[in-house]
Amino acid sequence: MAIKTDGSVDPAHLKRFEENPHRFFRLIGARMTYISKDRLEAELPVHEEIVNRGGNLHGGAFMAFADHIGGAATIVNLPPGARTTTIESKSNFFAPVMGGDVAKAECTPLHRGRTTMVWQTRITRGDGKLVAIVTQTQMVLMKAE
Amino acid sequence: MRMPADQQPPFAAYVGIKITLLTPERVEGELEIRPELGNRNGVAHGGAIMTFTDNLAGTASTASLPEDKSVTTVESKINFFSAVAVGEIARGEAIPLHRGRTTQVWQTRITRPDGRLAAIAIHTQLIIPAVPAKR
Repeated sequence: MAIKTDGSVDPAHLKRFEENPHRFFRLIGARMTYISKDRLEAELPVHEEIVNRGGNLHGGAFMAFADHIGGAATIVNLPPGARTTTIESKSNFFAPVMGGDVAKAECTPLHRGRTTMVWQTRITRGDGKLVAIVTQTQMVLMKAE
Repeated sequence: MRMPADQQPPFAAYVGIKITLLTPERVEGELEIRPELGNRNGVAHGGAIMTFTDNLAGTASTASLPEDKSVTTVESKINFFSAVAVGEIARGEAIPLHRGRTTQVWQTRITRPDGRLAAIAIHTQLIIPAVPAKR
């Protein structure tokens, strides 16, 4: 699936996200819609396998969705050869997303350092209401010399 | 005591979370890290571990509530310390830090098969009127 971009990301990364989206991201049914070094957007249709007892998007699915996006946003900002891992994540939930709706996420950087990066992901639902904010810290792992 | 271990939400079953102990003071569970729960480094995806902790905290807080009450997660924070490899079973243990009339706060420790601590999550659950399950 084609992902929109402003051309700032490495074409190899774009190709990988388009042709070989991550298995866990596909498992929950999410898709990336826009990627640049400064902003990443994605969508998650709320299907019946990812809801809670009330029929709304499960809190864990929100977190999984945001975690993956924060990781991808970090990857396109890494120096060559470096990898990343999430070391910390904090979510606030404001409103539910009902089954059948589509959750949309927008991820922007709060900090991009040599050792860590901090990303904020805002999740909205179909009517535009803000439903969650996730702030996560990614550690930058440099290749051993 | 309610038995939410037998009435897990669809997402928990989809991911493969098993509740192994349910008491008012402690809830335990297991999650086998199948290949589809892994990341590109061949270890458990952070989102899979977050899902596991959220489910344990939700199950734990629901267990001690009357039938007309339910909970919703309003806030969650997780620290990751070590990776769980694909093929291994992650074990989770949730204990209460606070059980008030309006909110409950639960701490969940995730450990690897070698006993090393993999993650700690703290969840704040808001107590709300129960909604009928839509299945």
